[in-house]
Order: sequence, then structure tokens, then C-alpha cells
Amino acid sequence: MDKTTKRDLAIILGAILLAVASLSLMGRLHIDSSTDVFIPKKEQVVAINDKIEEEFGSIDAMMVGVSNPNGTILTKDNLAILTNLSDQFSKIDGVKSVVSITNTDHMQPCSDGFEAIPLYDKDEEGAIECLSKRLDDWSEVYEGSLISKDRTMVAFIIHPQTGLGQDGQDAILNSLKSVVDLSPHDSLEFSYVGLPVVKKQINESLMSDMAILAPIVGLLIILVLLFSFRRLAGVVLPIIGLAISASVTLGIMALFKITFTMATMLVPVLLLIVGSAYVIHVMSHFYGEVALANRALSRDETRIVIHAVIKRNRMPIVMAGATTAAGFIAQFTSPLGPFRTFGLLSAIGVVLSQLSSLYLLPALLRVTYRHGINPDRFKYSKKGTKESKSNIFFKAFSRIALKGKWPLIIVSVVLLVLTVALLPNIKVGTNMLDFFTPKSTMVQDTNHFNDKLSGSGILTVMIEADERGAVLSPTFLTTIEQFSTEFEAMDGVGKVQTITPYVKRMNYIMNHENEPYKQAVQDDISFDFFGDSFGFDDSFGFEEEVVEETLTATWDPNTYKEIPTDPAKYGFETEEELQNMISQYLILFSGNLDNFINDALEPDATLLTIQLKKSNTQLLRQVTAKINSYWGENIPSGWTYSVGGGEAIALTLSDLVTKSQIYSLVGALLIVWLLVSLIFRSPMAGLLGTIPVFFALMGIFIFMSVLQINLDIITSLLAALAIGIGVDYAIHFMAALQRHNNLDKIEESLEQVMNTTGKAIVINAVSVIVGFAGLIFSRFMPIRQMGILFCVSMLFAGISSLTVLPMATTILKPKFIYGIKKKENTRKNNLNHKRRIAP
Amino acid sequence: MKRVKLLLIALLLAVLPLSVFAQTGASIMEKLQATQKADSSAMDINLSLIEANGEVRERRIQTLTMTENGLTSTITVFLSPASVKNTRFLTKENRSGGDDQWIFLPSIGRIKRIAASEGSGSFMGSDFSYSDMASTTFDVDEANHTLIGEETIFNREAYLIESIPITASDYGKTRLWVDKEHCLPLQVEFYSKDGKTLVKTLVTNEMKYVEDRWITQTVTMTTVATKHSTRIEILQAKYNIAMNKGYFTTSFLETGRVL
Repeated sequence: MDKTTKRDLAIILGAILLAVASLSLMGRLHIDSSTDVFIPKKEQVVAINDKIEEEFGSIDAMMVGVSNPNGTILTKDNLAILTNLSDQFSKIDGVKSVVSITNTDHMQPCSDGFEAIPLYDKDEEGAIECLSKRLDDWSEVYEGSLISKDRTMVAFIIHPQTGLGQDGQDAILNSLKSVVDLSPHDSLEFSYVGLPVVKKQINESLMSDMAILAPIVGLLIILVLLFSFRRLAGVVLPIIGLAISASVTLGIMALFKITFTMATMLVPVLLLIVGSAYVIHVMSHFYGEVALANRALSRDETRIVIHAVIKRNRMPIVMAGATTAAGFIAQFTSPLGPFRTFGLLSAIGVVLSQLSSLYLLPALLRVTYRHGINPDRFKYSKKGTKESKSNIFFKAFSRIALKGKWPLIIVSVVLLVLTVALLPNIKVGTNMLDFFTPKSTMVQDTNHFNDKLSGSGILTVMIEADERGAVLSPTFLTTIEQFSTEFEAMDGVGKVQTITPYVKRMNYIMNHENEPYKQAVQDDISFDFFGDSFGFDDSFGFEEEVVEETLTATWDPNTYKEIPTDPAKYGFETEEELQNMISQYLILFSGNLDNFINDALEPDATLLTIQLKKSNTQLLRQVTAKINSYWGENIPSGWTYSVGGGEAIALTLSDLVTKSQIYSLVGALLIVWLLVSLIFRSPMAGLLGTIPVFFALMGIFIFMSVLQINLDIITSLLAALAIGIGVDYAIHFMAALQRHNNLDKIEESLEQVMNTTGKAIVINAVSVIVGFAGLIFSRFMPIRQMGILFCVSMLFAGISSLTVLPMATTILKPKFIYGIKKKENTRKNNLNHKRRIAP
Repeated sequence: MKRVKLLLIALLLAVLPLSVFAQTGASIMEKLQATQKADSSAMDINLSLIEANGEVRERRIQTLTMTENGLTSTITVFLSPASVKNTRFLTKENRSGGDDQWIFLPSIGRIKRIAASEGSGSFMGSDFSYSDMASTTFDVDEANHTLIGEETIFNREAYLIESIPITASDYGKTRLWVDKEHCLPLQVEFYSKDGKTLVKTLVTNEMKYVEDRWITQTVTMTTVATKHSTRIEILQAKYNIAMNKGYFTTSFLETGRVL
């Protein structure tokens, strides 16, 4: 075994060992599908949500909707099923509370006080009628939250214990479904909604995508390789290299405990696609060189060819890799952590792919063709009609570039105008539900739930007062009531849950029965069982006299279904006394209002929960603006308000995505311009190099607008990547034009470039497009959309680099192309090289 | 209210199931119950609700309790915060096993009867839930108590007893450390329904000799998930005092006088 073979085997073995070691680390990969992971911890909304959870408990409620498609759900059999489910759900580990119509207490007045009775008591006479009556009696609280207005659907609201984490919540969801599956439920239909449900679905889809996308994209690349080279080695050798570089990248993630998010999950797939371009270049040139020979090549001659091919391709691959990596590195400017990680990993992956193409692939080629190679066996090298046709095809490009100046300019301007006009139509928003197709069960479940009940999207407003008990001030409670009324009238808002219905209810119950404040009342006797005025062993009790007081007030029980605001009506002189009365009402709720107030007796913070039936960014912005406007005007001096909830996270994410898009776009353009300028030592080259890039961007934005694709956490990655990949075509083209420059024979040299580099650009673009087309098999809508947009952008970049870019170089005749002498030596070297192996 | 009576029992005993005992565990539980038993008592209690961030809210209540013919009556008065001062409850256990309850709200100025079914919310916003209180009333057949070992805890020798309720409860298991010397609870751990996850911990901070007995003067209940805790301190206590039945009437609740 000679030295070269030993070295090659060492490289191959080392790479395989590295890949195996990397794959063995896969178990350490940590997956976090939530969009929460995208939000920087320093964002205000994170602190707000943490505080809300601390003060009011978990905000990530799960909801199970149960509906009867055939009519009312309030039948004896259905209620028996619901009661059973409620009991079973409550027993699930990790569940803090379950609220449903079958386990809720109903507060109502009774003859000499008030009673809290079961909303539904199966054992009482006329149980269903009683239930219906109670639901009607306090519909303000029950309707929309626990039962639909048409009484065909009910909801179980399941609060997990705080701090459970995704795994704990997933376990609860699995248990909920198991309970439902094991319970007989006739024709009832179940829907599972809420943020934890969406997160779980995303997690599962993420796993599924990981398992499906890489093999599909791999298969497509195999097909491209097969079509291009029609040889087993032409497929297997590049795939080995690609697989190893993707595996090592995953290994790096596992080793450094980098969380696998929706952004980073794309890294292995992107590497397969991007890396395929490099190996195609190497393999294509290798087989092309071999085909030039008219006899079988010996081992040494094959090695010479491989050496020459690598030498010739090293710079283009390094340059193309550098610009692609630049696109990825531009993500460093993003405010979103996972994007920066994505950028870093992809850039590392690109370097690995380059190394693989320049070192591993040649080693594999040398080992595979250790006995030499026979070009006669290459079917694809046979010249025939197809090649002639392809020459005509590429000649057409050069004709368009030379003769079609005005049509090209007009088309470019039209595209530019279209882009500028359509850009504002692109919606920004990361609604997790939009990740799934409208036909998916989860989307349909959520739509059905939102249609019947008050909505599963949650925005919360936390109001903090400057002193304890102040949020119970009647004036402030009236402001909350007004807030609810105004917001519930908004399109898209289902319900606003606040403490006020409970205050009103207790006020009514406490005052319903008999005319208050007209009888003798006990006034200000201080009970102190350890004071001097009290004796245990006699019958005197306290020594103070009872103060008889008779007050008069106009009395009608129904007028007490209100927030008490008039002190005189309640026999008081000040609002503070009313506030004390409300505080006393709270005792009767036995701490069950902790979702609304932060203390059972004297709260200084209250939570208003806005349920949304839709969760698009436009509605969120509208609602948030109205919240700011309302509380900007109505918040008492010294108090504060803050907006939180799951949808607030989504809104913040949308803003960050926009920022990220702008930063990474500008960053990528600058880096790419700088790199191309440096490579060609001309700022003009940098500008010309951005022509295909701008076309790629125009393609992306026009199609985003036309196809109504949101700019979200996935699609916002696209533009910078398209810049990095799209500029490669310009580099290849300009470099080729530089080699073949001839001012006197522009048409001829252009045709030459078209037939060689033009062809390579087309193959490169096609392979990338085919690879990205594999993304349409994703379970995530944004990833599918990303696949489509990438194909479009590569098409635009490819075509423009073969039409608009040559036209621009022809018109501008830049110095960096036409101002330098032809590198005759290069051609001579090539000719000599050909002669050496093919005499 | 029933809650208040139950809280009182919790303060006295700070333990869970008392009535059903398996062999050794049962005998310790019986002794613990006997140690705490009183026919009547008066207590002055301070509750400190402590947020995870250290913020504290204070509540103060006083209670009178009397047990006659196996039925317990309790009157509870709120002393603070000021907004609820003088709010009073009367709870009387009835023969059917339930409770009759009345409340006097000073702002309303009259007695209201309360017919409330059992809930599971927190007691006055504290870490003691109604279910915590209710579990102290487990009957003989409702839980199994097993002595699972002896340990040193807080530098004191203790029996460790595991209690598993037979019927459904908010907790699947409790672990109780009983002080060997004074037969008082030193610590109680409350576990989730499946008995695996620790939900809350009750710790005795201070024991004190009052009149003729040792009591747990200060205890702290901490909710594990929220890190919120409630410290209960008995400021004053009297036991087995002569108590007039007239105190446990709606009339006394309203007027402060025995008719």
C-alpha cells in the first residue's frame, strides 16, 4: 500500500469514526419546540409572564372541548360521561385543577343567607332543569367559558401545576387522551386546545420532520446525482461526504448541548442541499476530465486528474462556501438566540462540507478508482443531439443578454415595482397554529372550540396598585367593568374574564333577601377573646352596648346586581367603607379567585384575561393598542399595568422576527458585497454580484405576498440564506467572464462562458431547487413555504445571473473583467494537462 | 366556617389522618391525638403569608372551640387586616356529620347562613387548602398509617409515619415525623395523588409548653412549586377552660352578648 492510499484510508476512516462518534451522541440532543425559546430572556414580556405565573398561577391552561353534534349536550347520559371525565382528569398527576360544569360550585342566595351548591347535582330532582336554570342565572360567568351559548359544547379547563415544563404538560395531555379513549362517550366529539396542546403537536411534528425530511432531501439529491453522473460511485461517494458532514454538525450540537429548535432542525437538511452543490462541482469536473480521455486511465493518471480537479475547484468552492457561510453568519445580527445558533452551526456545517468536498471526496475517489478508470463506460459523456440542444439553450441566454437589453431592464423594473408595491402586504406573525395545515385536526379542533366558546388565545393585563386592597376600590372595579364591555364588543375578542362578575354576584347574594340597613346592626364591637372585656367562665360576653342603628334606603334586590359604588345606598359615608365590604365578600370565595387577584382579602394586583377567537398579529396589535390606550387614560396615578399571556409572546416574537429579518438582510448584503469586492478586488464587482441576490429577494417577497406567506420564525431565515447562496452564481459567472474576457469578441466569450459556467450554474441551481423542494414534505407550513420560496429565489437568482448580470457587464464593461489581461497561462495549463493524460 | 374549625385542628395537631391506625403507626398516631386533645380552647393566631420574593402579608384571627358530646363548635374572629376586622364565623358540627355555618360581615351588619359545599381553594390565601384541613378529619377507615422508621430531624429523635388515605384525597400520601419526646409533629410532607411528587411541606418551627401541655407554637407550610409559604404562630392559647355554650350561637356572633 503506497503512502497516498494510506493517507486516503486514514482520512476516510477518521471521517467515518468522527461521524459514528457524532451519531452516538444523538441521545444527548435536547429538543425544545416552543416559540418561548426564541424569545430573549431580557424581553419585558418574559418578566411579565413570570410575574403573572408567580402571582396568579400557570397561564398555560389546557382545554378539552366536548361537543354533541346532534344537539344539546345537557342530557343525563352526556352529563354522566362528563362527570366521570371530570373526576378522572382531576386524578391525573400534575393537574392542579379541573373546572367544568360538573364540578363547579354555583353561588346563589338562599332563605337566610347564601349557598354554594354544585352547579350540577345528578341526585337532585329535575337535575338537568336545575342545571340549565343555574347556567342562565349566571351566564355572565358560565357562557363562553364552560358552555357554549347553544348548549352543544362544554369545556374542561385544566390547569397544570406551575413549573411542570413541556414534558410534564405532554404527559398530562397523553393522560387526558387516554382517559377519553377509555371512557365510553357515544357520539360526543372531543377537541384538545390551548398552548400546551400546540406545543406538544409541534414537538411531535419536529421529531417527525427530523425523521422524514433528511431522508427525503437525501433521496432527491441522490436522484440529482444519479441523473447527473449515472454511476453508482457518482452517487455513493458524494452522499458519504454529505452524510458525514451533516452528522458531525449534529454531533457538535449534542456535544455542546445546543438545543434543537425549529430553526436549528433545518441545519442538517440545509447542509445536505448546500453541500451537494460542492460535491456536484467536484464530481462533474472529475468525470468531465476523465471523459476527455479516449482510453482507460491508470491509477496514477486518475490521481493526476483528481489532483487537477481539486486544484481548479478549490478557489471557487472556498469562495462559494465563504459567501454561503456569510449568509448564515449574517444571522448573528438577529436578536433571536436560536437564529444566531442556526447561523453558527450552518456556517460550521458549510466549512465541514467544503472540507469534505476538498479532502474526503478526493480520498474516496482515489480509493474507489485505485485501479484506474475507463471513460468508455460513461454513458453521459457521449456527445449527441441532447448536447447540441443544450448548446442552443445556453446560446439563447447569451443572445437575451446581448440583444434583450430593454426587455430585461423593463422586466427588472416591473419586478422591482411589484416588490415595492407588494412588500407592505406581507404579513408578519408567528402564530403557532398557522404552522399546521387548515385541515389538520388540531387547527380544526381549535377553530371549532373558538367558534362555540370564547376563544383559546390569551392576552392578559396585569394591573398593580400602589397599596394593598386598592384594586377593590369601587371606582376601579367600574373601570374594569367598562374595559370588559368595550373589549368584548371588539371583533375577534370572545370574552374578558375579570373579578367584577364575582363581586357583583356576592353583592347581590348578600343583599337579595331582606331590606338591608333598616334594622338594628351591630356596630363596632371589637371581639377579643383575650382582652379584659371578655370572660370565658360567665355568661356576659363582651361588655359594650349594642348600638342600635336604623338606616333607610330605597331597596330593590335587583339593583344590587352591581358593583357597589354609592356609599349611601349601603349605609356608608365613604368609598373606603364600600371597599372594605367587598374585601369581606372575598372571604366567602375561600381563595378561589386566585386567577384574578393576588391576595384573598386585600389584593394589590388583579389580572384581566382577554380570550381571543383569532390570533393573528393584526388583531393582537389592534387589541394591544387598545389596551394601551384604555389603561393609558384610565390607570390611577402611581399604578402600573402590563400586557402578558401566550399571545403577547407571539406578538413580541413577530416584532423580533421583523427586526431579525431586517438586520440579517442588511448584514448579509453587506458581508456578501464586501466579500465579492475583495475576491475581485473591485467594489463594482460587489455591486454586480448582488444582481442575482436582488432578483432572489424580489422573487421571495413577491411570492410571499402573492401566496400570503407570513414572515415568521422560519421564513425570516430565508432571505439571508438566499443572498449567501444566490451570490455564488454571480461569482462563478464573473470569474468565468474574467477568464474569457475579450472586449473585441464579447458575444463569443459570453457564449463560451454560457456553455461552461452557465451550464454549471444551471445544474447547481437545479440541484439546490430539487433539494429544497424536499421541504414541502414537512409537517410544518412555514417549512413547506420556505421550501417553495427557496425554489423561487434560486430560480430568480439563476435566471438573472445568466441574463441580467451578463447584460450589465456588457453595458458597464467593468474594469475588473475587461481591464485585466487574459490569463493565457491558465488555458495553456489546461491544454497541457489534457495532453498529458490524453495524448 | 368549617374551614376555620379545621384550621384550628390543624394548628393543634398539624397532622393528617388520626383515626385509622395500622399497628405501631396507629399507636403513635393515637398518642399524638391524645396529646393534643382539649374539650375547649381559645387561641390567638397570627398567619404570615410569605411570597417567594419575601413579601409578607399578615392575618390575625382568634378562635373559641368547644367539644360537647363529640360535636365541635368553633367561633372565629378576624382581627386583621383592617378591611375584614370583626368578620366572624360560627361553625357547628351537626349529628349528620356536616357543619352548620354562619358568617357575620360587619359591613352588612347581619348574620348570613352559609351552605357551602367543600372546595379545594386556599384558606385565606394561605398555603393551607381546605383539603389540608379536611384531611385531619379522616375517619378510622379512611387511611392506613405505617411506622416506617425512626430518624433524627431538626436534631430531635422522631418516628416516621407514612399515611395513605384509603378514599380519594387531594394527596396520595403523607409522611409525618413525630417528635418522640413530646409526641408532636415535627414535619409533614404532602405528596401528589400518585404519591410520587412532593407538593407541600409543613414544618414545626417552635414547640412551647403552654399551661399543662406542649404545643407546636409556630408551623410553616410551604408549597413546593410556588415557593410560597404560610407561617402560623399561636400568640396566646388557653385549654380546657370553662366555656359557655351561649358563645356558640348566632346571637352572640351578631351582638357579642349572650342572651
